[in-house]
Amino acid sequence: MLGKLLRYEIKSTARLFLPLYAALAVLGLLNRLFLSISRLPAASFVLSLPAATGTAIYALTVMAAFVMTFVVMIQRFYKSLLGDEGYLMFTLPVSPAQHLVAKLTVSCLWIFASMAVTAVSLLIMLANGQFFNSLSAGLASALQHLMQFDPNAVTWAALGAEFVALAILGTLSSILMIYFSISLGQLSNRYKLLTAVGAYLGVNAVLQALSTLLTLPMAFPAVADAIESFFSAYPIASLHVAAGAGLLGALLLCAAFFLGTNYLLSKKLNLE
Amino acid sequence: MSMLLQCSGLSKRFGSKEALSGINFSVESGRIVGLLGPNGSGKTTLIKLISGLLVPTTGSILVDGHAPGMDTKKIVSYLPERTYLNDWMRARDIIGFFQDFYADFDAAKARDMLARLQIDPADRLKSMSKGTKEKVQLILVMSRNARLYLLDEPIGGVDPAARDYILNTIITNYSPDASVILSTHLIADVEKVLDDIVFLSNGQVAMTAAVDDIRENQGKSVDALFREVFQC
Amino acid sequence: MAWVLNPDRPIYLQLVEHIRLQIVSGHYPPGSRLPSVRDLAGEAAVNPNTMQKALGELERLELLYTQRTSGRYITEDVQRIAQVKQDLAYQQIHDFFVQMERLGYGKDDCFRLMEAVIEGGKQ
Repeated sequence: MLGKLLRYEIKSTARLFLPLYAALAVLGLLNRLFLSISRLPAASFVLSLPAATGTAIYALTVMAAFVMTFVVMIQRFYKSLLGDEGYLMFTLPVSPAQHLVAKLTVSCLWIFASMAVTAVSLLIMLANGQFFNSLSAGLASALQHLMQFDPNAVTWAALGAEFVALAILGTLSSILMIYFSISLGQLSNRYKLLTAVGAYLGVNAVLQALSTLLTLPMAFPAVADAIESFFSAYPIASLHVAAGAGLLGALLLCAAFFLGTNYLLSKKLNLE
Repeated sequence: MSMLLQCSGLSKRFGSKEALSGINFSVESGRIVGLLGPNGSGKTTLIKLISGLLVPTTGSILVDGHAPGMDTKKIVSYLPERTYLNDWMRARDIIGFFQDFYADFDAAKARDMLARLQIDPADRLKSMSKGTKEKVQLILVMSRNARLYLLDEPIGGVDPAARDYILNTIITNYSPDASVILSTHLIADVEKVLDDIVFLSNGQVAMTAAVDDIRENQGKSVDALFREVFQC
Repeated sequence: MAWVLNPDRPIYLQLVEHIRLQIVSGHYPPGSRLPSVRDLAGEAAVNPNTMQKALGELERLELLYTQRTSGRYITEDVQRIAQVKQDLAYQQIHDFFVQMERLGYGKDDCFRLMEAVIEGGKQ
């Protein structure tokens, strides 16, 4: 059932994203053309105009893609589960948890797809021999610096993996926090959307307070000094600890929001 | 005869408003039951509770022995009083969707019914009139071989010819294993089709009876009795 | 076409009357097979359970019989059908006299009026 939900969710959203992605690719290609025209030795002001407009339109489209990723994420949850379409979705023989996983996976997928497509369109627009040369030179020197710091490649691979995991879990927990807030909002009989926004701000405030509480010990000079000396003594270990703490936190948030949303959708569903 | 649906001590509050209170009633297999009552009497709320879109404040609902959930959603076919299909799909996509998710869905039957109502499966829902969309929804819901059909105002918004078609669909779809609960305020149109009626009034069950018992004992139609009971 | 049913009387009784008329009038010949409950219910636009009840009543009246495997049939007992037909005719005539009596006509007046109508009809 989850597979079918995922397939349906991707089908419903792909029709929105794919045209936009295609537009980004085409704009990248056009801009590449315009940019090369504007770089011609004989290029006048008039010949540089298309490049300027093209770049502006491109930038707007990139922004649109990210705004849409965000809006679709909210809309697919709010409208298709808690709006009129929810009457269909919640009478399917599918558990709320499966709905949640499907929405979450597909949202996450589009967020990363939007990033990847933007990167690819930038490459289409800008990539040439010189670009790749400077890119590889930059990467090589960065790598060299890292190796000087710690010659063990495994260390950097592990750290890289930790931060990628952190990015994914962080994204998941941000999405889940929005889902949780919307699910709280539907409990209200009259002001669902308003309550959802209020809930989001409330949850945010609680998280802020918690993180302040957790970093409170840093205010003591003794603690701060100890941390600093630990960091200078074992820099790599400190990075692992930081990433581990971040992962643990994100994991806890994900679990809390997932369970909370699942509870609200199973036991407190209030469709009207 | 086994009890297909059993509601006991069922209440639902929205904030301070009591939408339903102390509802007790049950439905055997093989019955067509009319849920009748004026606007705002709680018909839709009751149907939504049975279908699991709302959670009762107190009391219990058992559909074939199970509380509303995954087990009941497999055997309950629900027609809401609103359009729940998204616009961008074509009729045939929705048939595919139902086939994917409901093991008891009969796609051939759905396509046959679409053809009989001259609805092109390639049409997008966006381009359909409200009445046509309602017909598509009814076709989807009635093309399942479910145990319990919950039809919320199935004949409310359609013309008399379509009304006859819908009632005929309900009759010809009849199975001794399945029951139909349909809510409506158009009593005269449906009473020939009903076995039993449940009158709802201000969130409470005002009366349950068999249609022919009402006619036999009171010498009047359900419609006439309804007008008497709910006289303004 | 849905059958015309009176809203104030039990539906199953009206179904019994409707089908009984179709049997005595020869619409369903003796020994012929009756359509299924579902089809009949669809034709009459009534609940199948109600149709079932009506057919049960007609079986009790010995106008129908059930063959366990193949469905319901009209009785082959032509005398039984004739008897029911005659009962119905007597009932009609009885009702007619009751109505006429309400209008103030005695039996003799009725015969005279009937003869006049029949004569008139010949012209």
